[in-house]
Amino acid sequence: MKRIALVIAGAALLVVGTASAHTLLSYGTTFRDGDLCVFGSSHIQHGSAVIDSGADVMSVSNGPYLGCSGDKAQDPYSIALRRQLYRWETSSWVVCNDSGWVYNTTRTAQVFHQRTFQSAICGARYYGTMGSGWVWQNVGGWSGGGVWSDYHWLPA
Amino acid sequence: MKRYLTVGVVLAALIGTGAVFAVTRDEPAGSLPWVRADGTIDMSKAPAEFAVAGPDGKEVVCANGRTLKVRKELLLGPPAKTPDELRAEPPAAPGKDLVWRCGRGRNPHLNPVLVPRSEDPLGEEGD
Repeated sequence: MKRIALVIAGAALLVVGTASAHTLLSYGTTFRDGDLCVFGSSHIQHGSAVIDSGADVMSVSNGPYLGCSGDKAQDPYSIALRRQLYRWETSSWVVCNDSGWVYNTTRTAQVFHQRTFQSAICGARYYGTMGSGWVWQNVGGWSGGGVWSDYHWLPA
Repeated sequence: MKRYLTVGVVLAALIGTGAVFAVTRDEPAGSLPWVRADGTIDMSKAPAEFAVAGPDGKEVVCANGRTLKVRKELLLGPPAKTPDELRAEPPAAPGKDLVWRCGRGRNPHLNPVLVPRSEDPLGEEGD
């Protein structure tokens, strides 16, 4: 009984948290070949006071039976990620904030970048996050692509 | 006559409200043609270039009066350097915000340069 109460309390907290912050998240496979899959994701979230824009890229093994499964660690500077915040202006998307390139500096399979803003830095507009993630292959070069979080209105 | 006048006033108010809403909340046209259903980008369908915002949040306009545009390859494409090149000369401030600014020459709006935000000649952005 106590366990059920805890679960219900946890679920209630989750609902409250979800209600106070609105998150748009997209994730997908941006590249796949015989032994590598590149997963990317991007999100935009706004709560009561801040905007959260983030993206990540993951290097994943691709095997003949398991498909895209399991981390595929990469040497330093072999995973690259860039996060851009776009805002809608009348008829086109305009780059509002650009993280520049972020790389893995140790051997790992994932790079993540997130930025929190205290206000809608480009005014009251529709905003979306673009994450551009790439993994280096000795044959094939940088492999990957972009993921768009989708957009929503952010008040100034 | 009074009824027509009332209806006219109501209609004018509705149209005015709609116009203001349309101006302040121009909404993007639903799903983007260059974004697949799972959110991944189809580079071949992305706009050829994007405008960029300055510290005031408005599009950057170069000295020649033209809006600065950045090619999609520079925004959405992979890094220009290989891992070997990056290891030999690591980026000075990885993950620090960068800003696009007008380049030099006769067509500065077509020659964008990316500078660290801390070195931005137009000043700090307001976040």
